[in-house]
Amino acid sequence: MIRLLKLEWTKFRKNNVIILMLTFFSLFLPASLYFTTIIPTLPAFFPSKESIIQFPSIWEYLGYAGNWMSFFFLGVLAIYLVSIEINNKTLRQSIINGLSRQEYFLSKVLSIFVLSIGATLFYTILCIIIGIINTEPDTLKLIFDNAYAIPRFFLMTFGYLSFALFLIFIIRRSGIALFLYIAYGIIIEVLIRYFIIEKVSNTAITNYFPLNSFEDLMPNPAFKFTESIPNSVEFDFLLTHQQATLSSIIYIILFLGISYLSFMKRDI
Amino acid sequence: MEVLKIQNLSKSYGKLKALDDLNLVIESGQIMGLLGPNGSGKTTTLGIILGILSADSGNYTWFENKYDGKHRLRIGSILETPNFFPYLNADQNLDIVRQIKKVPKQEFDDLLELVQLKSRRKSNFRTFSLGMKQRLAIAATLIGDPDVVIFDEPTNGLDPQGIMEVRSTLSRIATRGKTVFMASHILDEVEKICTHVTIIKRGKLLATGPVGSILSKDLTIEVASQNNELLIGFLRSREDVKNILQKNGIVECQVDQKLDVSEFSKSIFNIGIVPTHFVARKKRLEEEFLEITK
Ligand SMILES: Nc1ncnc2c1ncn2[C@@H]1O[C@H](COP(=O)(O)OP(=O)(O)OP(=O)(O)O)[C@@H](O)[C@H]1O
Ligand SMILES: [Mg+2]
Repeated sequence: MIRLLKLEWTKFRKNNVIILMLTFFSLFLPASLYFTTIIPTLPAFFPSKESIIQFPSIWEYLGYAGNWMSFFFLGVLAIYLVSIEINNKTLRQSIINGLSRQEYFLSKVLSIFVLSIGATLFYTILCIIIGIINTEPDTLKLIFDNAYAIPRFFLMTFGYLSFALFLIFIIRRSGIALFLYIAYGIIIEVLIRYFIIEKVSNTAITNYFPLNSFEDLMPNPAFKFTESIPNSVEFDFLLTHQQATLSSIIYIILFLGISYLSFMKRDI
Repeated sequence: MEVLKIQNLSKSYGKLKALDDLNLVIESGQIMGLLGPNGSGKTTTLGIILGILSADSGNYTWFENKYDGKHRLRIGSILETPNFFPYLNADQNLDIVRQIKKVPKQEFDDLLELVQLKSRRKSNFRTFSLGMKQRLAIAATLIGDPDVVIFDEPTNGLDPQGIMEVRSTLSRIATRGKTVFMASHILDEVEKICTHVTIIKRGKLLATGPVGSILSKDLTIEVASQNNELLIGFLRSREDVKNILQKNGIVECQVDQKLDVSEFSKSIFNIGIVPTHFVARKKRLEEEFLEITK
């Protein structure tokens, strides 16, 4: 496993796209938090601007910012990790040179695993630093009162990246995979859910869609306030953490399992 | 030892039958050319035995199964194009291959020397000319001192200079005693480099064996004279002369290779014909190839 990670490191440490995506992720994550604090008027139901950067709620706010950042920058990066090897035929060459297909697939899964761990560490450190700076000393004891935010963040990121790997392994065209990833994440799943709620069943079942499951691990904190939930919805708008965790794990297994099976038997 | 044994291999792409019941054995030390016109299934064959394409039926065995599934670590190969990371330099790209091959860390001085890329080892792959890319790929196939090297049209797309460089590199490799399996549609290449040849067409095996045995036993004789009519009449009268034809003022015919050529030329002289051109040559593989794949 270490051998495979070393190999990935040799391949990608000098890659500009990857460096750029990681830089964006690390800059925009703290920046997004900063931008929310300078919005002049927050919706009336928000407790206070300060809570955004204080314990314990910073875990939720920064987590939600990370939700978008992981989806975009790390998701694109995950697709790129495979697509550049398809386009330059180094995937093919790796197998010819003697890597087994299992090893190759594992090297990509390990890569997104390490990326997710790294992103989670960054998120954790950022939360602690910003939180400590901005929280009054007497509430500092709430520092880890975060309902497992750290593992939730990890699972969310790993979920998005598994979905990204799934698309590029199945579709194998970088442009189409990238487009579908972004389009599905932003609008297609929402439209499908909307259609089902309107036409088929107005129940919480659509909450269990894959990207919504990942998203609900670190949901928009605004949805905690009933005022921000659309009136037409007649059910709990968010999955509970337990529900989202279970559903996400199932989707991750499905995405990676299907990619693996497809990769093992297709011509490359 | 049987390095590779291919048995009844078939593969179709949709309706198109790319390989049709192919059988082939390569013994250790052979330099086997896989010869066939464009689209005859050469790359498909190599893709299957290298594990990137799957066959519809049939099977293949590497090294009589002695490496237990790890045989690809003992094979160096390039298929169709040199495949590297464009933003990494020659050294870094070779190091990736080294890691995959599980070979201890090393400098690649000798290899880069062999393919004449030592002075460009720190340049990014994307800045290489096609010939340099191809030569880097050849160097990569030799990492870990493999038992077999496989090339697919190694001179494809190169200019005469590049072709010469690659061929001389291949010849140097061949003298190192490795088993070589090389696909090509260029006869000349196979004729010059290989000890054995397998000819396929539309995925079917046409012939396989030592290059010499695939060559026919006939000699081709070219004669020209002031009076070709008379010459042709004379050749027709001889029992031991076959396939007489006239091309651009030169009469060509085939005779058995045991025929005494000087006797033959004398007999032409004796009937009063003074040849302005007289050449006796072995039938070239090229003509064989065209004949076999017709
Ligand atoms: N991925 C594919 N999909 C469909 N048809 C294919 C595919 N790959 C090859 N073919 C077809 O299979 C046949 C054999 O192709 P192959 O590439 O093996 O030939 P080749 O002998 O290597 O030819 P060339 O000398 O042009 O490289 C051709 O007719 C080709 O068009
Ligand atoms: Mg080919």
